[in-house]
Amino acid sequence: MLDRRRTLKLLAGGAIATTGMMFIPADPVIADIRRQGKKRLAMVIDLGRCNGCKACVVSCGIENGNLPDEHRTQVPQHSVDLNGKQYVFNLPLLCNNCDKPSCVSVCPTGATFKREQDGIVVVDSQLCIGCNYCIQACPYDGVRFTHSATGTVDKCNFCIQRTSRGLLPACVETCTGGARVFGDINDPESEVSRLIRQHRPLVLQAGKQTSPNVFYIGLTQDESNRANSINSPQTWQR
Amino acid sequence: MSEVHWGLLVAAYLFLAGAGAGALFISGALVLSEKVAHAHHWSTAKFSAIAGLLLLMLGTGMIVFDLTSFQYGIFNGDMSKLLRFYRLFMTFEPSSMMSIGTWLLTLAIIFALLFCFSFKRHDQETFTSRGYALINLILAVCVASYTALLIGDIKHNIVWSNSILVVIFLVSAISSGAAVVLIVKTWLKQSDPHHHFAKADSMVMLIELFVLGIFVYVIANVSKFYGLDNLLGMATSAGKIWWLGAVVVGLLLPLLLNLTSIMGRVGVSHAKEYGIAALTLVGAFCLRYSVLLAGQSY
Repeated sequence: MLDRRRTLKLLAGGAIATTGMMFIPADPVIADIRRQGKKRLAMVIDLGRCNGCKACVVSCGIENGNLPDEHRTQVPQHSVDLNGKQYVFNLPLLCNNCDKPSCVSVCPTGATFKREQDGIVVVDSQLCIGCNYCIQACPYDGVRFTHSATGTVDKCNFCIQRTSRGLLPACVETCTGGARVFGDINDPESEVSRLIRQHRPLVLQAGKQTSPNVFYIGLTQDESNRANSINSPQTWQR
Repeated sequence: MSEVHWGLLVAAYLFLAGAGAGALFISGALVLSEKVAHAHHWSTAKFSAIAGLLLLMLGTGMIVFDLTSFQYGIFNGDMSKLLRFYRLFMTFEPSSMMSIGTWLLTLAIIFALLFCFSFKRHDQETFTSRGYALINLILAVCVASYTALLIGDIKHNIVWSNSILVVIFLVSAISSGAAVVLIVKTWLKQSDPHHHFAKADSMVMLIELFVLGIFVYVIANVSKFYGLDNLLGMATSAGKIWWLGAVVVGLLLPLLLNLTSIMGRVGVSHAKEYGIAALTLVGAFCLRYSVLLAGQSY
């Protein structure tokens, strides 16, 4: 039987516990995820192999439950002027999961963080409040967006649900031209390390000092410096 | 950038926080300068502090309304999303300017509340009021600066990461705070026969015009350097709001109205005072909105 004194004690204990819970900072919540491993996952995209089929866009949407107009990755066509002639090439874009991401430090709730074990930048949709500060801070336009079904920020996380189990990201798995290669950049035997050694690929907007982990084979210095957007109008749709 | 992620609500947040901080700054300055020994200054300081507090609270509300999780919660009846904004006030991330600013605003609201309560004593010489006035003065400067630092922390943005924006938002906060105080004075039916207020207000507006001029010059040069059309040119929507709203409506017209009264040595009607205050406030809002748009338009 609960007497009045015990009831009051329980209520007070409950109130203290609730208040304590509310003041728990974001760090301990994600600390256990950050604790293990030291891989650095990266993607190399060979533009010479990308045929613009967009199988990657479709499989990414299906894998991650994105709506038709909201893409974690997209393949816009970009035009270049070469010796007075216009050429079009496909430029697959996605979150660069940067080594020095500008989105992490600005997040006011700690929802965006970089996993120590593999270097993937993740948005915890349970912590994200949707202030859009990370979207503003990211120099790569459109790679972050508000997911209509959750009201929180979403972005490519290299299909963390797959890569954590040793599988490839959906876009890499379905790439019909074999343009997307994924692996551990710190493993000298991996395919990505070999391609990086062999081709010296470029990253997008290196001047922004974010050290991206998506590398492009076949991109010129001039093209890499452009502020390409995932939301650019498709050349074929103009 | 093609999408506008920060629009009217964030502009309202920056504007209301600035105007509230400005009103609290002037109220605190009145208390510290011992002008509150005069009854009419005492009333002005008191009601300006209350107005400043309400504006700060309303401004904080605006940033909550802008959260996409909050909007999702409203439209889908999801209480967990609706109430998730509490994380903004319960988590402190020292690397995030938004987190620092949220705590700063919360502190400013608490001390503004204490400052307002201290007026209930009717003891104009008490140390407590002067102490709160000083704290409010400091917090007001911090809040007004924070509104610029929030967007200034986006380092790659060529419009926002401009250090003069801190000075602009600070001066604009004092100017819009003065507009709030003018509304309070007019509402209290206080007249300004020697145009002291109008002269001080005009001086702040002239300083603001000067710093806006520097900003326009810098943005024109930066736009040219990056091969862009002038981001504050009349061809852009941000430029139209900047020139018509912030410069003409918010500065030139109120300045003209103030100067005609000062030069003509005629008393200013209450309707004209309300008009000057309203124009200044519209201009201060347009200033912030146009800067937000310009930073998201390239």
